[in-house]
Amino acid sequence: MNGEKLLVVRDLKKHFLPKKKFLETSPAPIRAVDGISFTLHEGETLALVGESGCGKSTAARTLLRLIEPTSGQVIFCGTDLSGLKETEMRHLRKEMQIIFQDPYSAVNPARHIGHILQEPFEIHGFRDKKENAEKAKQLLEQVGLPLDHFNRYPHELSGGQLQRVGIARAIALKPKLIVADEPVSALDVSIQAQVINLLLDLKEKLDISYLFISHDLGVVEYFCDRVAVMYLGKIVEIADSEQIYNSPQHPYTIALLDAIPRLESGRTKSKAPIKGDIPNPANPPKGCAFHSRCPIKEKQCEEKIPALKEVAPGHHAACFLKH
Amino acid sequence: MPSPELEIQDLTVSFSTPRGKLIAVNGISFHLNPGETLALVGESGCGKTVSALSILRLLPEPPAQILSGKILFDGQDLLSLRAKALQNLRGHSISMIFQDPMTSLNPVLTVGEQIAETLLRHTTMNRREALQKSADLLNRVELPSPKEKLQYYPHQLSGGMRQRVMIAMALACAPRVLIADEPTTALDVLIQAQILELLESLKKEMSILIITHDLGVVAETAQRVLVMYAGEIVESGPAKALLNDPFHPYTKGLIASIPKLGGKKKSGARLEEISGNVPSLDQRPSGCPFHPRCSWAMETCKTQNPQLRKVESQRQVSCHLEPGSL
Repeated sequence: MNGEKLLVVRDLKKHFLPKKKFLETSPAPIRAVDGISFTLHEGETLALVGESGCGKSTAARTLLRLIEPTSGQVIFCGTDLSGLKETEMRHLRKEMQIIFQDPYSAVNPARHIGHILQEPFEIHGFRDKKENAEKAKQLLEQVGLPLDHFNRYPHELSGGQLQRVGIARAIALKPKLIVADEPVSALDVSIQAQVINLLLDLKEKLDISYLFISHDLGVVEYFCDRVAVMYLGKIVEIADSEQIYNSPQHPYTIALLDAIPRLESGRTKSKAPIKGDIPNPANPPKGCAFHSRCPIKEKQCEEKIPALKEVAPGHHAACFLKH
Repeated sequence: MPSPELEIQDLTVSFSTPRGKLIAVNGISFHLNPGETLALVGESGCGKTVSALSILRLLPEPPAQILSGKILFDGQDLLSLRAKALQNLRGHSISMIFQDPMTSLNPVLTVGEQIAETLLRHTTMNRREALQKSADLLNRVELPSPKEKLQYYPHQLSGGMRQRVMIAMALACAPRVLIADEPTTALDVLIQAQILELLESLKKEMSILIITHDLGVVAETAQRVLVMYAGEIVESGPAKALLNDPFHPYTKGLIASIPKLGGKKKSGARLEEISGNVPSLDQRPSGCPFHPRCSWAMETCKTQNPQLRKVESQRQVSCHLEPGSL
């Protein structure tokens, strides 16, 4: 955890401009990611958590430059990514890979698994076909798939098996960073556990850092050293996993933790669920974005935007009432 | 013991496919008591949705075919009813809500028209009364500014709001039975909590059959649970007892494999997992369908499929092992 800074994100923004409608002046931009900053150290696992539409997936894609950021800085292994040309970027992409949520739409259905796993090598200039095939077979073994899957097609595999292929492809070039975008949420419960355990094993063996995008705080607790909670394009709380789960500070984090259905207890009647939906990011509420749903809001929350402040060592939260 | 509201006896459903006839639901029997909330739990492909859809004959036939069984409601077998009689029942005495409210609502009709449609079909209300009642229903499901929302089209609503509209439609004729097929799976956790709260408030008014893969949802809503695997019920019992002390190795594995809050400290960094995959319908294992993934499997499990048997006054399990020996 005390390793070098692998990834530094500074005030990253991604605004989408909606299509202009007839006679409309300039439409308000959708602030999908609105100024997030964090640091990921080598060997660390950081989770980005939030509801759908909070910008966590956009953040992941923007920092890999799969979509271009509006502004902000992403420094990976000491290199600022924003100025890089496509060829230089491609070179760096060896070190930063992504695993997607839906394994079926992440692979080419017309290519067999062996081909899918050899592709990263071909793209990055490894020309020896025999060697590439050999490496692809080793990858299958590493992710716990039988060798006869080499010649199978994606539709012949189950969701869990295909997600293993997605993982194998991500580790093919021995990256330093893997961005895992909801890697288990499309999988059945009994398969989820297998895939999480596989990701944990690979982290140990290959010394990978993960940026783990998820909406499931239960999974995140198992997997992550640090957690960043996002709401409407901003990080509202970031801390060590233990701090987030034991002493959450932001009312949104508290609500998320409370809302998880628990096996042990049965329904707790005292639970007052947060009312309403996540607001439209094109037209976010004034002041603190969460005030429209916040159970403890005050007058000032409607006017001013709270900054992310340190509430305990290493624990930052953006709420007026907590510091 | 009051007589059950709904009783399913020996239901078997198959699908005709290019690979032959596949059995999706294999002779299951269960009942739903008046005022009870019963959960049907399992992973994808275990037959839980097919069972639920069979109750109202909502499966496309063909390719689906109900090979055997009875579905008893109000003293009649729903499987022997004519189409017309079934239509009188659907949305009136038995209603259903589905997983994805976007694909289950009609995108070109307003919310008001869709709810009123149910009322116009089943009651003697005129259009104006039906729309008034629709607004009341939207109010009942706690949709803000219900009168205004009658004019909305589904795409103007968020996922949680759409699910509320679905529930309002299902409640329109005050049904006796509500079948909820993964009602919160497509929703965010905060919205899920809201919808579960809403379902909780309906419990007094009707019997609910909730279909889910999420054992947390089961613990929060259901009184009784049926666990399905490969088209069969492998365990059933009161929710609390079953979740605290599962008898079937599959139930036990399923519970263990859920990441629980605070669980990392208790059990270390790794999650317990069930090895292998859910068998596909055309590769059903011999004997007990769970035996290839079961760590307790014995020789008999490979050849003989255990019958669902009573082990305690309210609990049943289909396993060759003695309950409590896991």
